[in-house]
Amino acid sequence: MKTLETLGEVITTDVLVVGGGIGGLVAAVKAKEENPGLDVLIAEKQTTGWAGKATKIGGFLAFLKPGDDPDTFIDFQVRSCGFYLNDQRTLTKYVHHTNEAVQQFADWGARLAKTPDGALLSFPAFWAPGFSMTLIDIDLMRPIRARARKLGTRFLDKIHVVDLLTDGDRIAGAVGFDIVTGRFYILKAKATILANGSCGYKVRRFWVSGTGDGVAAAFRVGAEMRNAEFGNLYGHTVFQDTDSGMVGCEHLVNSAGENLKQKYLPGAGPAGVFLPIQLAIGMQREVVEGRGPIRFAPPPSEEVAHKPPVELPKLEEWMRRIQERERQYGLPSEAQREIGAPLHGETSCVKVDQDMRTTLEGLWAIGDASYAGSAVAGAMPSPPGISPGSGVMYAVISAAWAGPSAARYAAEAGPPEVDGRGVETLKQEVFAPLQREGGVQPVEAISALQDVAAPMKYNLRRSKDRLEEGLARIEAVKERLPELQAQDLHYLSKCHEVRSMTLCAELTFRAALMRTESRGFHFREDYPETDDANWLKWVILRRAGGRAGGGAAGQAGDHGGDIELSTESIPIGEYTVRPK
Amino acid sequence: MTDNTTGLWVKEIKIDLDGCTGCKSCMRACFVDVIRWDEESRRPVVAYPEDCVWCLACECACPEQVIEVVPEIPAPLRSSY
Repeated sequence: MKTLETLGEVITTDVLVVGGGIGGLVAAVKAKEENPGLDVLIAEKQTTGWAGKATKIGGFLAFLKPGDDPDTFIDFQVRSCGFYLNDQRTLTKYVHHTNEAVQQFADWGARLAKTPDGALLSFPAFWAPGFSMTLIDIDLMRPIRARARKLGTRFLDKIHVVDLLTDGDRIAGAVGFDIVTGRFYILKAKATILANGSCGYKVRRFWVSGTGDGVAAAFRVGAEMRNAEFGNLYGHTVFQDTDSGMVGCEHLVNSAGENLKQKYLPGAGPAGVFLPIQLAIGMQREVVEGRGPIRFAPPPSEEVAHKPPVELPKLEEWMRRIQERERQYGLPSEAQREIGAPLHGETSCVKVDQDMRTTLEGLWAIGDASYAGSAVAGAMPSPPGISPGSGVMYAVISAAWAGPSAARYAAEAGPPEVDGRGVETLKQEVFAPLQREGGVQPVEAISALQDVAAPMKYNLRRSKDRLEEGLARIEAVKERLPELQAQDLHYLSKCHEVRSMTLCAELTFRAALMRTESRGFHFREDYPETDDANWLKWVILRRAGGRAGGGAAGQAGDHGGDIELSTESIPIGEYTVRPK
Repeated sequence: MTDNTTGLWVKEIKIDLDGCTGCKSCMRACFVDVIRWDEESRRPVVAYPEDCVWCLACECACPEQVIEVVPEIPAPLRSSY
């Protein structure tokens, strides 16, 4: 048997953080602050402090300002957003940590919106009672990266972490490869925190980095998944030709000039920037029935509000550039521009408890890896459907719980044993697409996956027949994964992203097929009613038979194995907010 | 509106290497590995323009302002309908 050292670069650490976006940075900082003596390592596919989604658009932070009413907000969040599929204990804990998280940003030196006299600018959340909003600039990660570095966190950039290592029933770190040099890395860790995001199937341009690598890796080693059916966010209406604009819901019309909000949400109040599911389904119906394309037709007095209301220089500069580019290279101003509702996806189903521990010893999952799985959102994709300002907030708050929890565990735990044979198998699997001549190119597989994940007829306006049709198409992609071919290391990374995305799609579709009712963002045309008598339950998914053997995640050709589905009753009797 | 037939989000990424100081800011700012580093010339290289989504983070990060990303419009955005 080969020793680990002959297989690749072996790095031993106490706490391994996978992902160097906002969540990973905060988790590292909090682990170090909990126990400065521990070694903390961030492994990031691109560059720590610039990676992920927090710097893309961003801006809003939603929080409980002193004087706000948490009970009113939680009541609204459970009844009108999560439809009782929330873990109300974690949601309550989250809400009560939001103000502290905003203060923490200020302490770190991130630029928050200010009033003329220098106080924090805040305003009532336009989408929920009892909650407030503020704004933060898009360079928010820079001071946190500096803080992490000052505390002695090690950064390992350009490392694509592919799979998790196991020692018996415990997670023992991860393996991955350098996307520039091709070096294989064996990262042995006492505690591992997944902070590498959700899956967006590379549909929307600012979300292309979210490929569900952590979700898939956790599933492959046997972690449980929860609320996977809510990996179907169609969150915004945008100009289809640019994937930008965020035109809202008020002034959408069909080809006959009918206002779609009045048609599908008669009598509803202001809809905000997020797209309600009834309207999304209505838009799809309009186009399918020949009344498209959908256009944005605001009254002449109203313009799309692009400019942030306060001085956040980096955000303003970025918006100015985007708008200039659209003016210069975009469609002529007289063009009739189609409005689309592109898929965000946000499959984020790693099941976690109140400290962000997964169901596996030694493994935590935070931010968009576990937003749905934490059940903070309930029957909504993350950020929970109509709750702008919660994506960054959930990332930093879940990180602030996971970091210290993982640090305490690592301080007590012995060093993990990692079996060389299992690692050798993983290494073969990691590099296999480079060895193949010919085969399936990752871009072809991504396109085939988008053909299933993106259309609303499969992923939003669901039915048994269409979900099964979608699953057959996902199966067809899955069958060809062993033929994926990479021309170089950049494309090798893409091959592994395809593996992750295929598994995420399957998790979402299988969970959606099991839930025979409609609730929140899960709409079944064949079961249009919400069924509280039978479905106050979470759908739980795990790999059939637990994890693969061999001391590591998988054998060659391991693409997740069979999925075992079950349900877990929600302890609604123990919660404050219950169906009336 | 004509459809995007290229499957690409950008037409071109221009880096004026005469004005570039080789600080690597653009490479760090890229969240999808479009820009790589050329050890020989000590300058960035646009290695994977096919993955650029004109987030413009590289442009914003460049202290010399020598980068310009030219978008492809209409975009290859997968329709939900």
